[in-house]
Amino acid sequence: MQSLMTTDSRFGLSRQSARLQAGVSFTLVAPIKVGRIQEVVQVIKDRIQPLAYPQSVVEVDIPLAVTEALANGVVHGNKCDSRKTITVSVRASRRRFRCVVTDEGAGFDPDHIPDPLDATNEPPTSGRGLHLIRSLMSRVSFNARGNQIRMLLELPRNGNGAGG
Amino acid sequence: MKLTLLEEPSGKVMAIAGPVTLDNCHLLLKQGKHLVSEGYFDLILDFASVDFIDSAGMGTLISLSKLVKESGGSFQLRNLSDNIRRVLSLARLDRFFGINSGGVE
Repeated sequence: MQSLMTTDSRFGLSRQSARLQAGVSFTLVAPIKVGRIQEVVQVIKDRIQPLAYPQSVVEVDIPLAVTEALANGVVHGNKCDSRKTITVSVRASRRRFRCVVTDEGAGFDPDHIPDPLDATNEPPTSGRGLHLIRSLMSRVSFNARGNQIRMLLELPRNGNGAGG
Repeated sequence: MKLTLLEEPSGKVMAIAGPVTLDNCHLLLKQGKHLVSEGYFDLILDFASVDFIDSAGMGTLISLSKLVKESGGSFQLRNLSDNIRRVLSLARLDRFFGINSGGVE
């Protein structure tokens, strides 16, 4: 397994971060385990840092949405099979953060996921990841197979700290 | 995530430091179950040093809350940051945990 300790070799970075009209674009491909999800999230946070997104976006919106997408891919998609990879593609500018997470699983139908908010009395202990992603991101879609989630966050034009 | 246990008149305090996520929340559940098994039915989770929680972590909080309440005890979250309040609110768990969503615009 590749080391996660050096910046440029983490997760088999297939395309180096490239300056793209004041943005960044990169793809990570790795057999991610549950215990490494937060390391992937940190890589993304590090790479989008120059875009100076508002603090709540950097500390909550993006890390939580990406965490939930990765967890779904690792646990439900790849069934924690360490031989299967997760592909994370990020394309971000000061106005838009796009992230696509693809697993090697059979896929699922996002329209047939129980709504965790439907519980009348006691809340369920699981099943709210997708709800959180949809709450945090501006747009969420899936491929036909259901093994790829596409997330888009549109940043406010005059967001705190987004200038410069 | 690091757990520190403290005694207070109102219950046993589990002071958590670091993110509460899928890869470590089982430790929180294990410790909570252990405390309940030892007769500590009033649990207080101190989030002063928690900056991030995911849905698995939230599920663990629900499990612990149910466990102590079924034992006739009480469950309390305290010192929540605005970020933690916000995500619990997004998950519609603020009312369940008896917190308001202060700091959320």
